[in-house]
Amino acid sequence: MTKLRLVDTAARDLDDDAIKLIAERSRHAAADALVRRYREPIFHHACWILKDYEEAVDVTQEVFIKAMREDRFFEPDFKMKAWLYRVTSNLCFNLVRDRRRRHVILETQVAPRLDEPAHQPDVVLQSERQEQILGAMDRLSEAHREILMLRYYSDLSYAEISDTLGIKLGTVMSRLSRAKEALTESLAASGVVMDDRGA
Amino acid sequence: MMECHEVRDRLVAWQDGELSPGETVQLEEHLDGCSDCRRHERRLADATPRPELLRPRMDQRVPAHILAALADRVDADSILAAARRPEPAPPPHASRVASWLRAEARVPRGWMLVYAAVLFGAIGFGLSSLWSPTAPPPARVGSIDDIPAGQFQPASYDPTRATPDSDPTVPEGKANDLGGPARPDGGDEGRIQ
Repeated sequence: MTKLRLVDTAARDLDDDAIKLIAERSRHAAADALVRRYREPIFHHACWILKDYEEAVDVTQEVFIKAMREDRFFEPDFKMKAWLYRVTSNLCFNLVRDRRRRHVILETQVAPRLDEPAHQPDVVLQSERQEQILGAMDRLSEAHREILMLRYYSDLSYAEISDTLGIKLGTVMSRLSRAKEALTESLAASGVVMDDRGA
Repeated sequence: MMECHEVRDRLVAWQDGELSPGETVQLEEHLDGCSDCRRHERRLADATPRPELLRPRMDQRVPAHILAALADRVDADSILAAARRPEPAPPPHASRVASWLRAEARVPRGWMLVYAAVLFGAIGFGLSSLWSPTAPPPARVGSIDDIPAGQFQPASYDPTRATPDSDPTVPEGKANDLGGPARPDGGDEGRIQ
């Protein structure tokens, strides 16, 4: 079990270039490393857009199948991470549009709150802070929320965001600036006092 | 030298260390001399979300059975096997239209029939008003102008049937549209039964 966990952790630490090198020898091993590295981030990205666990699993599976059907996927100059996020976003937004079109109101699954009692003061403060930030994020436009999540939650670089969203690098910069301004205003409107540690 | 609006578009990139060295120098020179932009930069820096606080509520506790399904369905063996299967062809145009109709039209079928009937009726009416068969012009049998003044008297005129209380809207002696004698009461019982 420990060995398995070590292997899993090691696979997650492999970066995209290492996965491409593995692919030169074994496509199966590269697929395995790819899945271990990106399965959960892609699932969480899908969850964030879809707000539905089951659909997020379906989309995650479809994204990786599409990746394996893409002949150029493991080629040296292929932008794997941006491709995975872009395809995930596209599939998810198609599903969301489809839902809206059908007028099916899929109420989001009740957000599972941290149910264990938070005895530690830091945990309580963290939880309150998190609710404030998430509340402020909810009030942003979809474009602003998406770019903030890609940058600060999924940790994509500006170049990767540019490839994921299909927009120019300059637009990434200006949109992020606007999104952060909007977040500042949204936080201020809800009476959140910001400290020097950031939001 | 950068203008304020250019600086504000790049402030977040500067904070994230994503600006080129040249742009970084220009932006910092501007900040040194612009207190408004410095204040703006401070506000944006305070609003930088920490990743752990952005973790969506749903991600905070994913049910175990979902994680198990994820691990089971998204692994190298299953996705490679699925990828080897031929990709399902997109549905033909006709069935895409049908599925679009099924998805879009959440209207009871009865109402759909009513809408269709009204639509076809309106189209039919529109077409029929555009298409009017041109009847041949009536044969000229002579004009009233050809009759000398004071001599006009329809063949069917019977002065004995004219009564003083005849309908004033029907001129005396005017034949009805079937050529029969006009009825004093304007009725049309004399028409074809």
